[in-house]
Amino acid sequence: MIERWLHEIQNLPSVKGSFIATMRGAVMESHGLDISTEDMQNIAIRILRIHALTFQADNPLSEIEFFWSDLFIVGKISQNVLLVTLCDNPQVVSLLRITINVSLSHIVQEKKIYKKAKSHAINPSHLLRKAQLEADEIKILAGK
Amino acid sequence: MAGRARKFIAQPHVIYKKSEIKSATGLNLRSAEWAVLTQINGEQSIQEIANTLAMTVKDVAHIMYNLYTHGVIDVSQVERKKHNYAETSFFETLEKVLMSIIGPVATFVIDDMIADMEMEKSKFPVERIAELIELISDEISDEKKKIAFQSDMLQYLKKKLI
Repeated sequence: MIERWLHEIQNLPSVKGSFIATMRGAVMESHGLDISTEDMQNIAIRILRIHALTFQADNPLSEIEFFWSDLFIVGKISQNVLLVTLCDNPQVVSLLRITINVSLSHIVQEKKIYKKAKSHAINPSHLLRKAQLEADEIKILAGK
Repeated sequence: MAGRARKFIAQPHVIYKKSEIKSATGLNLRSAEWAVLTQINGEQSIQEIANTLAMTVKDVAHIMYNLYTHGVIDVSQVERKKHNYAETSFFETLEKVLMSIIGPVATFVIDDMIADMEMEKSKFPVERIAELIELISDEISDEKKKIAFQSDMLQYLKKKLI
């Protein structure tokens, strides 16, 4: 069933493929992409960190779209699941967003996905911690 | 022999294509210029590109002018495209589905959104149907109802348009 919904997205013009990840960036399923799981995870983490920044600013965004290299990337978060879609260009962006919304609403209901997503649920702010220096590290850098 | 003088035409309906002679490789383009360049495919007009990228026609035309002067794009079609308008049955289905979700205000919401898009029901382009559905979805605050609306309309689009 998950495959079916990811396939629905891939059927749209200019879509290369998509994958789903947990809120820690662990890839659960992918469809149509010829990139490594590690690369998918890196993309997921970047999107999750953007989400985390908006979460910290009390204006959490669940839909994030951006151009990266020669790709148009759409990330959508719902119920601790991140769905990422990679496109050549935003040719049919409205139809793409609608299809992503509908597909993700079905994907999050899949027991396998739901269970893993729940076990990986974290406060989004935790994703930003690695970018922050510890007090001891600041002291070392400051030469104190 | 002198070549034909190139002249940029900034009218919204004009369609440009990527140059067959010169590519953008090596040019130092801004991200907005890349975004516009990826949309230029010999099919989309300046207006359509502006709609897709949520930019103004003026901004897109300005960027395209720069791309044109760099020689990376050329005019593809100056004549207006023949329009493919949405059928009455689409609006009947849209109203029926939306009414089942938000009640009798559905008609007003649809009319408001069409007016916001500066369009008319009788001349509503098929290629902007998904955009209309998305705009209407934003008016539905209940997430479950929003998905139900999008799901029903997506099924309709698949049957009729895709």
